[in-house]
Amino acid sequence: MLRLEGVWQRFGALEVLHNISFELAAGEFVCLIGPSGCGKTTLLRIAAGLLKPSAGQALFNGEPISAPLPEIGILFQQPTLLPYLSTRANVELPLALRGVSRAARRSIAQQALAQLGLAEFAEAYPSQLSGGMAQRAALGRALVQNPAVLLMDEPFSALDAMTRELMQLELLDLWQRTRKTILMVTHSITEAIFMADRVLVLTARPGRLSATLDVPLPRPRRLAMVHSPEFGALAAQLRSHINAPGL
Amino acid sequence: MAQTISQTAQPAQPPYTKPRFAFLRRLWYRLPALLVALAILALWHFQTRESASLAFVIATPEAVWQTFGQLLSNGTLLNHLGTTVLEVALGLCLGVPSALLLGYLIARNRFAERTLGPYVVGFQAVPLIAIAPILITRLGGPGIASVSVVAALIVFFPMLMSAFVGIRSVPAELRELFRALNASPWQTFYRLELPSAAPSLFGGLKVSVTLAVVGTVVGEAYGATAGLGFMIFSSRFVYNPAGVMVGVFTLTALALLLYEGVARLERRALRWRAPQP
Repeated sequence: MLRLEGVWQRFGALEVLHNISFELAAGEFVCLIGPSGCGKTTLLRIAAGLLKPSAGQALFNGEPISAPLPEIGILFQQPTLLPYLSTRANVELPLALRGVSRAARRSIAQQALAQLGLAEFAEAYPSQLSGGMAQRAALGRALVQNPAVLLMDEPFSALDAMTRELMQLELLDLWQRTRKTILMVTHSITEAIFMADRVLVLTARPGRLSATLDVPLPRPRRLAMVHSPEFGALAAQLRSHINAPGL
Repeated sequence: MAQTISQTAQPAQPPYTKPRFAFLRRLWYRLPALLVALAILALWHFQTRESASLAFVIATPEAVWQTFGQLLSNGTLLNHLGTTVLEVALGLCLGVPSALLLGYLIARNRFAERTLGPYVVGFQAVPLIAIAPILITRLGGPGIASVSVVAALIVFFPMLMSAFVGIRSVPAELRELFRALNASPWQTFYRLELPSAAPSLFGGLKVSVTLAVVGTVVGEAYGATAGLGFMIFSSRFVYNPAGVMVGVFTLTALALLLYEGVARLERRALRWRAPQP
């Protein structure tokens, strides 16, 4: 579905990504983990078509990605909602930019908002939303184009712990219902194992793929699984792959 | 599940009813400013009454009021006011769009900023009073057109700066979002840059409308034959302080009116910033 082939990235003399290749199968949930500054965000920007790599390429269904595609949605670390638009208008934004008619985009956005439990906040401005609700609205905005692939850059790292767990469960639920292909960047070992089918480990600069860890935990995942011995063993294994002190 | 989080946010549209005695409330709100005006009036009244030498410079409030009535009834005041309003309008129509255009260019293009930036700032340091006479002779002599250009020049810099600051304040993450959504340059402009810059633009516009009024007076100082500025200078020439002060007060009222107009427009356009009533 989404493939990276020998991707290298340099910014001047600085080598950020070193020969990265991997592929996401359709419907797979993959987490990308690594110490801060290892080029995770850069990798995601390349996959989203926002950045052209110095060498190598990103492919979507075998076609090179040269510009952002509507089939690939992206969720940033911050909600990045437009403060002067209502929540509904924010969710409608991708459709409005593509020239979808007012009535059509309204019904699509209404549906997305209802799904995310934001229906009654449709007319509220982003400043009136809590952090969790704002990120939920951003997720809604990423979903209205019905992308096949969802790229997420530490989407829950700015949220408090409780909201974060809630959002993780909701995302898993949504993924299970829609079978989207998800690539999620995280710096949390627990989050990576809890969410993913497969975890890719990136080393510190220059970022290179050092290991892949399959997560054979059963679905649907439950919060209690975090305390199971299998989970602990996987976490220990993943930690041993990440050779950065203090992570 | 969402309900548990929802409690921290306010509902979208809280019920709002117009309070009773709205007029009295507004009056109460304006009272401090009115009291200041009253105090100045009192000070003015007693100062001018006691000093005879001041009478050549400052007229008594009564004399100003009398002259005001006179100039109003014989049409002189409205005539000059009309000229000034036209000059202010033309000056704004000329100065604001051109400043926005150049401000946008300098904000978005590093080369333009490097090339033109120093001249823009340097030009601001040139005293307009010093170059106005040259400008006016070059522009076909005193008249509505040349005075409007002076007004346009005076609003140019604050407007350009507000455009520059506004466009530069667009967060990088939002630009990235628009890129990720394949927005066209035009879409990025009117859906992202313009609304993001709006608070700053309104700030610049508020300064500009009042400065434009000042600009017409500067422009009319050199050979003009109409306008409130001309009225002030000609009244001073014949030692008529009351006429000077009527002109000054009319200019002040005009500036306040324009400012209030922009402020209202701003409140409407930036409703998203204000907490819901």
